[in-house]
Amino acid sequence: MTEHVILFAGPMGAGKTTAIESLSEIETIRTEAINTDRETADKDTTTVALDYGEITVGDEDKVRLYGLPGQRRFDFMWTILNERAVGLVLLVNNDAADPIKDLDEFLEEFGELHEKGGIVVCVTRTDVAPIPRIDKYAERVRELMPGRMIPVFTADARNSDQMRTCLMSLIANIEMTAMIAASEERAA
Amino acid sequence: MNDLANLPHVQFSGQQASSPQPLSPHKDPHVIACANEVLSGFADLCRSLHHATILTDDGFEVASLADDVRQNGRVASMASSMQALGDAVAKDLRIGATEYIIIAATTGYVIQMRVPDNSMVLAAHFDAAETVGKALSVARLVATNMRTLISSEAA
Amino acid sequence: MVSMTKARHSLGLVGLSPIECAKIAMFIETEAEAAGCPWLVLHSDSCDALIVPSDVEFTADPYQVLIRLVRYNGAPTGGLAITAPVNAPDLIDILSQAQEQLGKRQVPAQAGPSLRVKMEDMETVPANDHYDARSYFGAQASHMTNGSAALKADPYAYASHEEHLSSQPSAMATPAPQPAFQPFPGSQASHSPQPAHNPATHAGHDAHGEFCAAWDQIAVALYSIVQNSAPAVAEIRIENLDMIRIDFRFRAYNSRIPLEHVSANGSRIAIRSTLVEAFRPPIVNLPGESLDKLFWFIGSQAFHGMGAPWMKPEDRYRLRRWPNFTELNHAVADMRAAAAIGNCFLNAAELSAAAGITPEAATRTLNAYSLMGLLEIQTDRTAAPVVFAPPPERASGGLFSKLRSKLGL
Repeated sequence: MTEHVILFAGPMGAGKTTAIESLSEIETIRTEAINTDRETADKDTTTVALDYGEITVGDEDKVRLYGLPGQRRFDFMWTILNERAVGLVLLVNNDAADPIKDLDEFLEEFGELHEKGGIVVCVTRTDVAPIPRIDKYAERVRELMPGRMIPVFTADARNSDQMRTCLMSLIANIEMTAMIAASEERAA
Repeated sequence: MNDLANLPHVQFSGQQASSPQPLSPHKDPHVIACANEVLSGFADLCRSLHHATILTDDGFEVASLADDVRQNGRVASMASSMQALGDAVAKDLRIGATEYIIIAATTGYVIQMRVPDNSMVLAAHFDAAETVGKALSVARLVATNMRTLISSEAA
Repeated sequence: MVSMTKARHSLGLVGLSPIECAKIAMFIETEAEAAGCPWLVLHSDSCDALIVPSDVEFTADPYQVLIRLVRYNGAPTGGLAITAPVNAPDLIDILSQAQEQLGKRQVPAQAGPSLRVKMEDMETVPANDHYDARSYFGAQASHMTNGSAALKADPYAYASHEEHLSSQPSAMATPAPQPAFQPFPGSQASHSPQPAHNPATHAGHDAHGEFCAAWDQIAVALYSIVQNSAPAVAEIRIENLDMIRIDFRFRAYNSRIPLEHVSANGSRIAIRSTLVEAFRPPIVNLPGESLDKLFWFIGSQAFHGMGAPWMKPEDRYRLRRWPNFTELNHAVADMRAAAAIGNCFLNAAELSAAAGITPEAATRTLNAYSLMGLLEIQTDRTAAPVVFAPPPERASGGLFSKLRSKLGL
């Protein structure tokens, strides 16, 4: 069986756990603790190790969905899970104090995943905070990772259809990039 | 799987009825003082103890025996993750609540134990000279002392 | 059957007063209602014909017909001219002369009517580079004027909707009078019946082909407005349905009916647009719907699967950013198409091969992306094309295909 590890990263409160729940076909494994850091994100619980969900595709493939803790103090988990990953869904909540800065930080941390596979950016909570617009994110991604085409979407992490669109786009981009690279190799 | 009802109930000594948000344990001077007190007693009880940290469930250091601030913070984060993973495994296997977690290595081991009735965890690193049984007993005693001390302070 | 005609030429009003603009627009609209005036009034100085005050220094491009407006006490000019105050008969007469001149200028390959819009031709430039920058709408383009355009659907399409929609699907495929747009290389100028697809999605949907005709002009008008980057609002009226209100300053629109219903019933459509000061309140209820959603819809409806008139068949295109699929009515194939054209410059034929979609769907995709302002252009004809082999659909089951089946997409 081939496993495809997709990470869900992003700041605390971006909707990573919810996104995995929207996609997983098994009951998700969550490692949540009571959140004592209400200044950063006003929510009851926070992921402290990982979330896990999966989608089994036939007898051959399993897509493993790992949600990472959003806080940097858990960056050892980022390192551990990053090693097996082929793709990243980066969620950024638009109602954060400085969401573009959040994008910067996580792209700096996980940007290399684009070379291993691909990245898609999902901007969440645009219903409560419409600004900055999605163009700003796309522009920033172009500045930070010139020459790379990274899909940027708005998404509601609770919406399975939207999260499927994000996941499918990520996979389409990964496969297409690989196909183009193979074509160029053959041509060379 | 986990929801709020399954998480340990939180009692903070600094909590006031009029306060909209309880003070986090790692920011509560009373809790920090209690943690420092029990940890210093811990070192007296067990000479094979290398390091000990009391941390919040979500990975903030409340107090530590060692002075390496960076390492203390890192241990707190990792212990938090380990505790949560242990809880997740126990829950998934339906074997009840996690009592403690042991990581046994070549030259020592780490014991993690939740402070009863609190959203805090004791993480202690012993060298190989100690028996696991004694280490567990001492760790349980320290965790219980922490709970008792916080409760009495709050009362 | 209701007799209607299509707008065939665009008319730009440059440097005229708001009253002059309003009068001209009204005359044309009235004429269009009555007799099928083939002119579309746009906020652009890059139209087929231009009406410019005689005392304003202005040089038209070779393809354009210049009409001078001679105001009171103004000196007569050579060439086509009309005298203020403008009246309807004079205007229609001068436009007939302009139309005649345009007809003579058309090259044989473009024997049909043409709608011209400005297109920069640089090495690699955004195809609609002002589009996504809201700040550009803060400054009003001096040459832009208020105006309106009355557009009518193809009469056959109207009749088809009444009589043949379900009972004679083959009749729907009868070619309507079409502008002689050049299809992209490899794409088929398809008027033949297409397999039924979900009309709500983009790639490969053609079921309402005839109703698309009216969207050609709407697409050109919207493209023109966006190109000019001035703060503007517009209304698209659809007979018996509702009005779509657009505020370009906020990149938003409102419509009380789903766009898919517009597609199925769009028999008579008119667009009216006007400039507004940047500080004026929005004409849509914000946040409204994203303009990308409307442009995606119109771009995919228009031009009957042939290239938009502002696009060049010999150019290759690449996405500047992915479309926001979560807010667009999209098909799974659109993701693969975006992945392909997001990673390399492609023309319609190459996109078709890379994404495993029909050439017509590829052309529609390019049209929509262009209208949305998502494309950059490669004009370097010597660049080696990317060869995709094997085509992804025939590859031995990538994860994308498997997941697609698994998720029932």
